[in-house]
Amino acid sequence: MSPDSQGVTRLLQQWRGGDSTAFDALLPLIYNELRRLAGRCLYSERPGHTLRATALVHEAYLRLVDADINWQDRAHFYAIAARVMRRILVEYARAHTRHKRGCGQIHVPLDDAVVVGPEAAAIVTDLDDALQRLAVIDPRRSDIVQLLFFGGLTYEETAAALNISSATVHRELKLAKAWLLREVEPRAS
Amino acid sequence: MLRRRDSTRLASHERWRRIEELFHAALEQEPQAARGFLQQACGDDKELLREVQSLLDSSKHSLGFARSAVVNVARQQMASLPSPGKRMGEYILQKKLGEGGMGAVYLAMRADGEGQQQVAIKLMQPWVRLSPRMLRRFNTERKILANLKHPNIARLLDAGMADDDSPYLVMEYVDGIPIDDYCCRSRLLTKDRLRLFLIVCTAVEDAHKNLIVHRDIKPANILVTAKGVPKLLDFGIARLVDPIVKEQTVTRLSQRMMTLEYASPEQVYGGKITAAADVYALGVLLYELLAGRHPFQLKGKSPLEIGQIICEKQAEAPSGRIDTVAGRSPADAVRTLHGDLDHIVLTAMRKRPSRRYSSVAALSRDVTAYLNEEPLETRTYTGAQRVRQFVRRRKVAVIAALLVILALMGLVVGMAIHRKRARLGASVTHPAFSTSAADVEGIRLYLFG
Repeated sequence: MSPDSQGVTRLLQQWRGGDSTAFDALLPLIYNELRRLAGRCLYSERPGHTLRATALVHEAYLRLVDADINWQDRAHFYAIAARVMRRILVEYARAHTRHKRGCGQIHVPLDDAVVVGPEAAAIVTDLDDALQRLAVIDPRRSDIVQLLFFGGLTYEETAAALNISSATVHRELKLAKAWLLREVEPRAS
Repeated sequence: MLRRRDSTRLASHERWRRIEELFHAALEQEPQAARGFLQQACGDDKELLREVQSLLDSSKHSLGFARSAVVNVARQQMASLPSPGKRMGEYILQKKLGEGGMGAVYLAMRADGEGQQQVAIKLMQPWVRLSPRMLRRFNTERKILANLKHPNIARLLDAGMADDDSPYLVMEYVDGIPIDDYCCRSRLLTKDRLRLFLIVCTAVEDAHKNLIVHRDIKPANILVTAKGVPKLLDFGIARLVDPIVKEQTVTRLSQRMMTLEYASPEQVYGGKITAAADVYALGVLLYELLAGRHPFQLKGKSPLEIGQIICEKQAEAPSGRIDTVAGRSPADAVRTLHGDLDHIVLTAMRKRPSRRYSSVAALSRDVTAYLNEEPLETRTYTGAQRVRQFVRRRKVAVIAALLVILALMGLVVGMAIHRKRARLGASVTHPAFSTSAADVEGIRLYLFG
């Protein structure tokens, strides 16, 4: 456990207690940890090996938070990590698609295709836009996707973070996915 | 082209609940029966039917490509930290000098090769952009630095925007070492440490004149160049003090960002912040420069405990805590610090801001008075201390006076002996011992003019 772990735990509790500045204080800690871990993963990466957000968030958690933290704080940590990841990635993707938009079509493959480069950035920004719209009509489904896709959480962890059952996560995700796919996929109509 | 739906077309809350219900119900039907089921359930609402049908069609595909996109953007992003050779505006990054919570500082050179001037470029950590508060702080630092032009403050040369829209600052590059290391390595004498400290004070004073409180004065933020010039750096958490409000409360955020070891009590407990916070930090700095160690033992303590110590524990006088490895004879050092220097340090470090030096200038005046061997403005001396002070200040005059007194006493004693002898036997008077009244008068005139 790192010497910061007490601090992170306290900040998590303060944030849960409504202290919004605690989030600002948590951001750099979580961000730096995520980035450091990601950097290490990339360094020792084998071709074809994918960066697993799940592993990153878990490891960041183990390093940053007290082991005996209660499950609510644990869920909150994951929720923040997912939010941080989403924002980091979306900001980056936006900066990298801004000048590319409008100058030629971006072809997005479907289903489980591997997407790289400008296409990946375009999909991420579209996904973010769509999630924001989804949050207006159905905040919980938007949260589920954020935790799963950007936080890399498992269904069980997502369920715990949102205080719902795994079955509900599975069920709600179906409509969320269908809705998002229709919003971001290129071939519809 | 990617297609987006107009958000205004989004179903209202009730409609969304209806869609949800039909969607899940249709999924439970046999595929062949689903369409019939929906047509029946939607009745005349063709729009609803189309909506649910399109969602059902979508659900046959996987969103795996989106997950893949997220993962790959993560890979690109994490690998995108600027590395040496990257161009930032007119500059090319050479190497990373350091990395802090908020940003990283790089050594850089002008890309056009004009002037061999090296600069330091301060980049924001990407996460800072995620927080509007932090972004504001970075912009505040830029504004603050733009107002400061002092030979002992690292200057802002330029500011710009990187290609990913993150702002950066181009600063004067200070090739130096922290002031405490400098004093140690150069084995500076106490008086030279004080002179160096006074130069630092002029920089802080200049900031205060511009209504800027640094709030993070510590050895790591004061680098001394090879030529012995100290430069104050990092106004990262500095803030403009509103001249009308005069005092401002520390935000909890900046409270978390500052270095606790040099924080004043009011910074710890979230009180009003004025220039007095910098006076306190200068006191801690002076303590370290003189005693060779921090006023409090904080190693291994939790932030909460450190906060308590800073707010409640009176610091022991520096003369009582001299670090013997500082390369000086401890006895000498104790004698040097005891008295005036202890007083200066402890006055600057008082818990209550109003009881500290009223300004950095007042602190400087006392340090200068000490160097000139004059009485301190802020200290009341006892009779004995006054005598010591007087003696120290006018060493030559006092020694001369003492010599004269000794000479006179010798003379008086000599004359007394002589008279006694003369009385004992006038007959044996030796011409060499005969002293007339005129002779005495002559000696008196010689001595006292």
